[in-house]
This record gives sequence, C-alpha cells and structure tokens, in this order.
Amino acid sequence: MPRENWSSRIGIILAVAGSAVGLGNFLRFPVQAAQNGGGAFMIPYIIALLLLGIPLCWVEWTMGRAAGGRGHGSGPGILNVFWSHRFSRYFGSLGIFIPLMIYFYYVYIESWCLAYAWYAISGSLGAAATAGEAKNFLTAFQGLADNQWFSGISSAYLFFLITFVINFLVIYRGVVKGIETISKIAMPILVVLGVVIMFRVLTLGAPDPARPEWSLTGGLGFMWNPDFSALTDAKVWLSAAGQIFFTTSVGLGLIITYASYLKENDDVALSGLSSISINEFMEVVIGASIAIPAAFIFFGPDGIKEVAEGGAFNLGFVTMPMIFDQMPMTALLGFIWFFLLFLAGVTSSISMLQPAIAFLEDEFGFIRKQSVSFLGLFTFIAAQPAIFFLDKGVLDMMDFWAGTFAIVLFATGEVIIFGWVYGIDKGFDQLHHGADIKVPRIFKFIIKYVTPSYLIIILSYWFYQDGIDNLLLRKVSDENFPYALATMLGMVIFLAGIVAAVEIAWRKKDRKS
Amino acid sequence: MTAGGWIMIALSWSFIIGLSVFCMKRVIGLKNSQADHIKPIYEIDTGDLGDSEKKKNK
Repeated sequence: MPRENWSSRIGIILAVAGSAVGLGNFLRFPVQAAQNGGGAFMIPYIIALLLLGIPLCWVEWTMGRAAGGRGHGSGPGILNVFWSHRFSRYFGSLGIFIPLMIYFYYVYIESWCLAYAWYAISGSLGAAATAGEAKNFLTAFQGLADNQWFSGISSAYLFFLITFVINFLVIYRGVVKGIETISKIAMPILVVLGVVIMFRVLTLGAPDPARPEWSLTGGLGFMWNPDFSALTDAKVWLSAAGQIFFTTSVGLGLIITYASYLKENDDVALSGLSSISINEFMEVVIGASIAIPAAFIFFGPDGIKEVAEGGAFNLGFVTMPMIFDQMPMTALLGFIWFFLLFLAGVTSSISMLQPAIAFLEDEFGFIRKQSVSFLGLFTFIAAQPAIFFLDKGVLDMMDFWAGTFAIVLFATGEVIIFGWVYGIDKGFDQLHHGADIKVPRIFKFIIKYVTPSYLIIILSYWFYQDGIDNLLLRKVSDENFPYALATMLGMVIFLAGIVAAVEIAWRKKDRKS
Repeated sequence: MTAGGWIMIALSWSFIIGLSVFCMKRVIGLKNSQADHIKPIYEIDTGDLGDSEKKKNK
C-alpha cells in the first residue's frame, strides 16, 4: 500500500503544532513559571528551547523524512534506517510505547474538557461557584463521590466514549483527509478562542473597587516579576527543561512519524521551526496571559499562591470555572475555555495514535481498516484502568514512566544515533536538504555535544530524584500497592510485546528478502 | 508589576512573536519548488532492508 504524503506545507506545520499545543500550554506552563521564579523562569526556559527543543525538533523532522522515503513511519523502522543494528529497532519501540501509554490516560482527561464545555454552556457548571463546590463537582464527575451533581461514572464515561470515537474517526480518514484536515480547521479556531479569552482577561482591570491591588497588572506581576535568586536552584533549570519537553512534543515518537509522511525534497528546517514557534506563541503569549493573571484578579496575592500550588489540573478544572462564574457571560466564557482545551487535546491525542497505525501499516502491511480496528479495540481496553482506578495511583505511575522518564530516554537515544552513530556531518546535510533556511553551524556542535549531555543530566536527575522510589514503589500507599504493581507489570509486558512485534515484523521481512 | 517584570514580558514576547513572524513570513512567502535545489540528499547506506532492496533493483 503506498504511503500517504501531506498535501501542503501548512498542513504538516499545523499538524505538528497541533500535536504540541495541548493542555500543558494553558495549564502547566503558567503554573511552572509562577512556581519557579516568575519572569526569571524564562531564562532557563528559552535556553532549554534553544539547546533541547529546537535541536531535537530538527533531528526528529530530519530522521522522519528520511525514513519515510524508505517506507518506515514509526520508531523502530526510523531509528533502524540511521543505525542498522537490531538494538536500534528494539529501542525504537519506545516510539510506539510512549504515545500509546500517554493516550491511555490522556484521552480520558481530554474528554473532561468536552464534558466541562457542555456543562458550562448548559449552566450546570455555574452552580459550582465556590472552591469546595467546584472540587465536589469534579470528583463526583470522575465517579469518585456521589452528590447533587453526579452519581456514578456514567456521565464521564459517556464523554469518554464520544471523545474516543472522535479520535478514531479522524485517524480512520487518514493522514491527509483526517489529521491534516482537522489540524487546518482546529488550529485557527484554537488561536481565535485563545485570543478571545486572553483579550477578556487583559481587559478585566481591577473589578473589585474595594481591592484595587487585585488587578491585571498585579496578576501579570505575579507571573512575570523575576526572582533571579531562583536561578541558583537546579530544580528550576530542570523544570524549564521538562516544560520544553512536554510542550514541544519531542521525544514522544510523534514528530518522527508525522515527518515520515513528507516528500523527499520537502523542507524540514523551516517547517520544524515554524511548528515550534506556533506552539511557543500559544504557550508564552496566550497561555501565560489567561489562567494565572485571571486567578490573581479574583483571588488576590494570597489566594493565587494556593492556586499555583494546587497544580495545573486544579487550575483548569476547579479555579477557572470559579473565575468565569464571577464574570459576565459565564456560560459562554466557560464553554470557550473548555472547548479550547478540548481542541488542543484532540489535535494532540490523534498524533499519539499515528505511530502505532504507521507501525501496523508499514511493517505488517495492514490496510487502514485493519490497523484502526485493531488499535481501536486495544486502546479502548487499555484505557479502562485510568478511568476506573483513577484514585489508585494508576495514572501517576503511567505518567511518570511513559510521560516523563521514557520521553527523555527516547530523545537521548535519538540524538545520539543522529549525532554520533549516523554522524553529525551527514545528519546536518540531511537537515539542509530542501531547506528554506540555513541552520546556523553552531547547532552542529549543540546537537552533537550539548543536547545529549543536557539530556543525560536531566535523565540522571529524574531517575535519582523520583525514579528509584517509583521503581521500588516506595511512595505508593499499602492500599494502592496492588494497582501500582499491576500497572508497572502491565507496562513492562506491553513494551515487551511491542519489541516482540518488531522482531516478528523484521523476521518476516528477512524471510521475504 | 515591577520594571523587571515588564522587561521580562517584553523580551520573552518579542523573541516568541519575532520567531513566529519570521517563520510565517518565510512559509507563506516561499513556493515549494524554490526549496528543491539547495543540496543533494546523502545516500544513507546503513544496510537497512529498504536500501538493500534498492541496490538489488539497481
């Protein structure tokens, strides 16, 4: 079956940007910045963007395009093109494992956004006006409590089913008719909705005359006033590097798959940089101007600290509904906010499915109907633990190993294979083939030496800080221990299964040749 | 908001907006065919199955 190609340059740029722009741009970034030195956080953040985000993005676009021309669109095949050793194929299995593991829980969180958009416009969400009520609304919706709003998990499950079907309908239509089309529609809407909400927040002023210091400038100050002493703390630098990873989608196995659908002469240097720039605009300009400044205006200098410490989910699903409740046009603004998050979620989640689809089609010769049916059934079953055992630590365990540690591990492997095994000179020439911009030569040095060193430091620190405890399940309560152990074993078996599938696929090919 | 805050927001936004405008201007201003001439592609000879088949066919 011939592989598809993107129909336009803007299509792939928006698809990759859509994959990168997610809930993290609007919820995680502002919380990270506020907790890690305010405006000073931007110094390690921009440095990490230049030393990790942009170089890795170019590496992934280049590797994906080259391997796509040889019929490979997923981690194992792509890495094997650049390093023929069989270990590269096994290691490349992470490029399928990571996005699917994240998808198993991300699709459920994405469905909350759709549900909240519905509850906002229908008025139910407006009834949860205090922090306590908003929290009760969320926990009852998740099926963790029974109260006046929800009894059981049926509502959440219905929205999960709707979201799940939407994802697979897009994937079933293929790269051009599905992913490219939805990206071309969703991304402009996403930008417009983001600008609408941002404009509303930036024109709030100081709505309470009795408390003039609870103002927009106060909120922006909380977010942006630099605390340069924070820069002496290693954790701040690692948080910035972590945020760059989460936001740019590098190391997930997504960009290499999307880039594999490029034509041989398509540009990757400018397109890769463009997708990063869209993502950064949505994060630093729009994302930073909504949640935290709005929360400061309505909760003041003391309340905002509690909000920031509550984390990203608390900010999105508890604090923001309360904020909209105090504004005119509550229902409409609430709907716009959650629909914005939902669109950001959809464009990200569909990209998590494509590496596995590419693997089944490219390496096993599945037709679209077979690959989508197989993956649909598999992911539907595998997504259930995150729904029904949400409070048992299952999601946290998956998020640490697949959504944090494995991403950095995979990116480290990619950049070492590209810069050292394949060779930075050849790699840099590949990057420039068909390029519409000249990448500064300093990036040769960065890709070969700086990026891998930076990644190894992050990997070592995370493993030392959290990895050992997570591996030995030290932080897990006795009650949650069986669930955590089962999740860990499930992840090991799943990864081993992918490695076995890779071995079978290549043995089949060897027999044929 | 302190002067430092205004400076950080101005610098960060200028960098990000500047990068976005540069990229979009180039993307919208260039036609696909203009990109084809820059460098010949390197032959990746890694012993990969696809390459072996290509050589055999040649």
